[in-house]
Amino acid sequence: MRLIIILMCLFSSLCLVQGGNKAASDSVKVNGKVVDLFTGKPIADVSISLRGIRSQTIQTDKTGAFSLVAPSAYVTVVASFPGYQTKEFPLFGSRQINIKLAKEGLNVGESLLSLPYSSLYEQNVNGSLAFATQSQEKIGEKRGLQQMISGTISGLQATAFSGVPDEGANLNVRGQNSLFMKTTPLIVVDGFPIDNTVYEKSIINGNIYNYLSDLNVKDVESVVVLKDAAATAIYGTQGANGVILVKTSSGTSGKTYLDVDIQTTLGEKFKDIPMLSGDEYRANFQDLLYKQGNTDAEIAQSYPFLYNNASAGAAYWRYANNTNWQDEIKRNSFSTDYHLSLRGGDGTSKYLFSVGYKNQEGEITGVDVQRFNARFNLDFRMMKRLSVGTRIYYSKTDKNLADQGPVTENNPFYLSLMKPSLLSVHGKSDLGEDLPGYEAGAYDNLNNPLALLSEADNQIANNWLLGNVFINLDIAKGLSTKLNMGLDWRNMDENRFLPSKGRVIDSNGFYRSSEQQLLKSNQMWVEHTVSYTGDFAFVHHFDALLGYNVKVQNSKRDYGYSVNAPSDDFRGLESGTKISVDGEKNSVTWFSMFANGNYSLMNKYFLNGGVRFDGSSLFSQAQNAGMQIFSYPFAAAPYVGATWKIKGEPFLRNVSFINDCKLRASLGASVNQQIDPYQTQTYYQSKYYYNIPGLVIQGISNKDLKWETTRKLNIGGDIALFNNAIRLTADYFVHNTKDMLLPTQIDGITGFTSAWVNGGEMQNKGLELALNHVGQSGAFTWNLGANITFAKNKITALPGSADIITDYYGYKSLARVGQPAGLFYGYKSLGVFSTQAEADAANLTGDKNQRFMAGDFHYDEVVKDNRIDQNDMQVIGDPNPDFFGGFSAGISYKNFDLESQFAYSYGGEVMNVLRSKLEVASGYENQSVAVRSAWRADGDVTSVPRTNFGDPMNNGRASSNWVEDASYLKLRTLTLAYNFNKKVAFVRNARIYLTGCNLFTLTKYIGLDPEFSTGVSPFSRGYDFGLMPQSRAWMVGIKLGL
Amino acid sequence: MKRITKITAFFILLAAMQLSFSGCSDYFDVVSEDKVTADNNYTKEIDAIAAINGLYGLMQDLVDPLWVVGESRGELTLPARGADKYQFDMAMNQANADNPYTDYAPFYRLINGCNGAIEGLTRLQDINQDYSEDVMKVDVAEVMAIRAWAYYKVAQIWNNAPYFTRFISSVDKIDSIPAVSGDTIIARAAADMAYARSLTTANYANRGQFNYYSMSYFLAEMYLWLGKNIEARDAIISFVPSTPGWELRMEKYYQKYWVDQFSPTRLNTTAQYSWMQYIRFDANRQQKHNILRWTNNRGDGIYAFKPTKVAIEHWNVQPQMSADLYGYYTNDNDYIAIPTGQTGDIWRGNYRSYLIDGKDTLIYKYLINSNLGTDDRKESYKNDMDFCIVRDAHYCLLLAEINNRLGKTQEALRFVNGKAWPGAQPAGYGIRPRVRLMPVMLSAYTTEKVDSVIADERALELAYEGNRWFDLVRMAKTTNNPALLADRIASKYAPSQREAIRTRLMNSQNWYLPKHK
Repeated sequence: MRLIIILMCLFSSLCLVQGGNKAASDSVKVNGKVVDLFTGKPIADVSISLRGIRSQTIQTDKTGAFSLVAPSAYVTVVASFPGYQTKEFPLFGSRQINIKLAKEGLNVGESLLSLPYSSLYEQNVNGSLAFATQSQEKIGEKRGLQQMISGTISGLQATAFSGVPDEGANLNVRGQNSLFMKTTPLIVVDGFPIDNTVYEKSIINGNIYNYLSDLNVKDVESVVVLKDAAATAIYGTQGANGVILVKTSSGTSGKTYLDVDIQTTLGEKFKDIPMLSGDEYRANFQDLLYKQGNTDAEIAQSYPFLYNNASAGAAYWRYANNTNWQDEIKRNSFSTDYHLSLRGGDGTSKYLFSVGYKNQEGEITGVDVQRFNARFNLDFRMMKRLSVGTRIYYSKTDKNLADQGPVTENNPFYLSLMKPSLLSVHGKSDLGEDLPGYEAGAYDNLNNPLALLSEADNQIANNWLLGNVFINLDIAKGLSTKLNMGLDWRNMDENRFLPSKGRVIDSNGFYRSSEQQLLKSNQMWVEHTVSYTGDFAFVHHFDALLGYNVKVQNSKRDYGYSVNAPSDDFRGLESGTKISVDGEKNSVTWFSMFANGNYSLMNKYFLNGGVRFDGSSLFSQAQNAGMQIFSYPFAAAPYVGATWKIKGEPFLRNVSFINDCKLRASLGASVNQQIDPYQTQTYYQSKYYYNIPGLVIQGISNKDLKWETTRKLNIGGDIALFNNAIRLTADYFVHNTKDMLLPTQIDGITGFTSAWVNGGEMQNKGLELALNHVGQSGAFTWNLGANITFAKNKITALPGSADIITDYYGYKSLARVGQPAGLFYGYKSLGVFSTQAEADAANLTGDKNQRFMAGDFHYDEVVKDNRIDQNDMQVIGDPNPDFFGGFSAGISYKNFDLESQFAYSYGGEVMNVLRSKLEVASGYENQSVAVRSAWRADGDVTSVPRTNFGDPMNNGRASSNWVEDASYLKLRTLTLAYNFNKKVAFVRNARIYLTGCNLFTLTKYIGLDPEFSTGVSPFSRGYDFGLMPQSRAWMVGIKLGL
Repeated sequence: MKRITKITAFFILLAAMQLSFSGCSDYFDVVSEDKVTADNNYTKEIDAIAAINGLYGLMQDLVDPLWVVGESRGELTLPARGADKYQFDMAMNQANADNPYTDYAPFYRLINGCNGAIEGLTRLQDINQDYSEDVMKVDVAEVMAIRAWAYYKVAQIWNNAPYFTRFISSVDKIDSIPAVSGDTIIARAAADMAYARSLTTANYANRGQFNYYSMSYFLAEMYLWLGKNIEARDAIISFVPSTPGWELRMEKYYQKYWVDQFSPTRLNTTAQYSWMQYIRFDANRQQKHNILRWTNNRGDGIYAFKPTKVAIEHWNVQPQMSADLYGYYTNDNDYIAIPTGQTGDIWRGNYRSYLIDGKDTLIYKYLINSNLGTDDRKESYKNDMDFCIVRDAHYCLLLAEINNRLGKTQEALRFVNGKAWPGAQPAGYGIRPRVRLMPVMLSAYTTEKVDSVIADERALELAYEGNRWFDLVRMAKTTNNPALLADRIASKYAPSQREAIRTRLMNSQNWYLPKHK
């Protein structure tokens, strides 16, 4: 608060000093010249006008010169010319100006940014935001929206979920600002905020449905990322984690364009994890059986195939293989993508109609995605003052997936590693030939991964309609009102069928099963705003916005599970024995009001501020949550920001090598509130007792709940040098989250063990740097970009200073005061006991009193009681990177472009859970080649523990032995393109391009891919249970403009 | 211009509509169709039935913890290879406060649910005249019986614990409710149970709920716990026929087929003739407990608990009578004349209470699908075996215990050994004759020896039904003889550990679980 006051005092004193300068409002004669940024050649016929002032537009002469009379020396001159970026040039008191225009497509910091409530010239940005645009000609050369923004925007961490087609990336803007609430940014598509873009509870285990991937990147014109409070707070409760604004292309006024884009992609098989061969496995297996205490006779009795030879026929051939199961499930993928867009319009209407279809294959057989989408964007000026518009998008997606990640029973990727290599995919004849059909699990009790991929169904069909209609009315000069209404309608149908073919009977005794999950949700949203913009005395500029919105969300989930249908041909729920039916319905309502004001003085001093009030049914019964409006609590999120354009000051005005210099500061609050519905109410739900319905108390209310608040401070600056050739942006931010919403242990006399409470504080602070360079020499034009984000997360308080330990599939993540969130919590490994003497000296027992022997891991004791149990758990790793970012380099020569995009992350760690299973068998699974160096005899010095059936000492437990450095540098894309600029027959232009994706990754990580996200929670980070990695892919595309 | 004015008016109207819509007092009070808020509950007559059924639904959730704390700590059970650390610690009597089985929340969820129901039913009667006061009283009585049972269990497990009868509906309303002694809790629970029973009529119809018989039984157990032995006897004999001999009557159907009361295949829907009250389950409606999973070593069984050698040995040394010699029971002292048959409790031992499956020994009572000496287990996903909380053997053995407390040692022993009732055969048998075991012979009928006989007979009859630890605690407490518990529990440990555990359990403070942290 004190900072706000200081800022405001500073600002008002500046205003006073300037206000005293009488020269500010005298009319002046201005002479200028317009030249090309790179060549310095004058440009004739450039339209010159004054911003916000109705006066005659004039043209430059042949020498690029112009002359005009401005009402003040502090107005802004606007220069525009086809093929060049429109430039706004504030006079800052000068009377002689030199305007340099940059060609379209060059990123020189002068773009026009489309924000939902206004369009903003990049130079006038007051707040911290970053953006990515794609020029019309390059649209769609990325594989998805996430690829478009990954590594290009400082402060934005985009971590791919996995290599499954269209899973996209987990996005975090400036770290994770919450432990249990939403940590992903709000996505606003054409002004319409869309919620819950990531769905994590698929019945196809380990898969994430990402709605952002359903937006066709080829429709996207620009993406703006809002980071600080001044930029995000207008979104209130939804803006706590930053906001990503997506703007889709719109029509043109004049010509009609038809663009056709055809793309084919070849994805390479990802690499194998080296596993034991059939013979090696056999030796290892026999060893295991001996260790189980079996005699030769017992082994011969239970596993006769170990002693068979070819004369035994099929009984021998069945176990005499050397199958590379990984290779069996993988393929080189082939994908195609078609996109067609029609843009056009005239003075009163602009339209865009586009359709797209793609079929993308995964690198695992049977995994693919088909999507059809259509978009209709219309802007229509009905009357001089009244315009309407619509943005309608529909996508229909069909996915065929497979389990991946932590749940392993029907997970082909996991099984392809674990399945013994001496078994074969197909049954065998007496002569060792393959028989048709799949071999089911044998003694190993593991399902056949190929049967799962070819015989099981794991389908998701999703329909998504996202549409909004807006009406804009100019009431009077500068005053307008806008009504925006939207609908986000989703309908997802998940179907899963597990056949009996190729599978063993599952742990529940089911030999085949059908599952279906239906998810329906709709969100209706209406927003009404009134905005005012005006200039006074040519030096004062005001923008004001007042608005409110109403949002109603309804969601419904239905789930059914049935088993043991008569045959694999009956795949629906109706054919089997019903095991469970389940579902839920939820409704949430919201009402928000907001006000925002911007003021700028002489284009030099910018001040903005505002407040948003959010109320929702989630907190409707909370008694002390916030301000009472309409007798309901509302969260208030105020913010203020200031920018000083130092370039405008007399001492810099004539320093020609500095083209821009700005200092920015902002402070504000945002709130977060994604608790489960009904937490402020005590409620009952139905529960049957035997076959009679009853009602049981299901939730206990906490009427003291309030919103989680994040206070954000941002101090930053921008500087552009040498004709905008070098631009540097630096931002320092501190986010303090307080009143964190956490599930906390409560006294069991309530009947519940935990309830949501407010408690705990967290800080994210960091530094972002972005550097851009654009240059030209002869026919070469090049650009370089680099960005780096240092973000540090620290939990500063927790209720009772108690640690929060959360469980993620048996792995514990820790939140502890003074430490970053989501630390790996487990056992510290001091290595493998080399000799029995060593083990005896340590004298350790497990939590069931078993003794640690030579060949077991030596775990560090925290509590010295000679017992390794949970009291000995400690922090063993940190998934949070020290810094991350990306860099890019592009060069174009005549009709050729070459562009590269790199992304990196440094200092994060990964718990390689998959490796723990590949090196510490608990059953008859195959093992990685690492076990060749497993401990075998007293005196062996190794890091791989002894083989022991059932892993009785739990050597595979979460320990520091499996924590690895996950730093990486990836070449995400490298594109070479050629443009045909000559008009040939009906073809306006054409471009062909070749893009290589994920061409290389530099990392020390032993697993397949150090970049993945198991989920969006801070507590699920860094656990590699085995996900499909991102593959190298080659994409060839052709774009025709007709 | 006119049009513009109209459009402006449209905007203003729309804004006004929006504001009034949002200002609507219930706009934020959203409740979805699958939930009922506390304020909207208890408005219709049918809500009363739903409330009570909901409470029985919550009793289902107590079966897992009751079984672990009530059975695994006893000397009949050891942790097997699938036990997690917490189950292991519990079964080895070394559980700390971080052990989830020390959490009393599920018990208080039922208790607080009962408190809410009592308030709600009273309010319902106030606002809805269709719901008569008489019906309300009976309903409230049933809820009080449920609560009394839950409090009784809380006192048995934690001894000192909070006691309250008002409904806690919000976490911010937890005042510091002090813990009171176990005896205080049980005394209050007994008073509630007595009141509840007074409004209940004797009727065997619904044994899935608290009924006159089970209320009487628990009342007797609570009185016995409190040292009110006369009241205990009066409570239990109120439903036992007073005709001499009939008080020993065990359900005759089970004479040879004792195991049938645990076999769904053999009994099908008329299961549990001898059960007075049980908690019902239905796997098709997601009502399951984990005892099958914990005791099975196949399918989704995790094999967490297994029988001890002590338990198995105990069954194996029991002497059988030769068949069909019931007639020898002519009078109290004529046991000697009965010819002995083979050795071993074949009706209750292997293939019944336990099963030897290769290298594993299993607790078999919940896995039984059908009878008759084959390993025929239920489909493992049907973890919905009903859970008996009182059956005939409970009342028979409790009567033995009460009589012994009252100094009637011979009469007490007769509930174990049985007594003939001429002309009414095969009715009139005690616990042992029903499974054709020789009577237990004592050289002298001392109270202590009879207690020991009763405790041992309970192990044979009621093993793995979630009673063992509670029975030993009650008997050790009421006889003032901690060794009765300590010696038995110590017997399941390795010889080197026995003395330490025995010493610890000689102190009654160590019989109760710590408060969960």
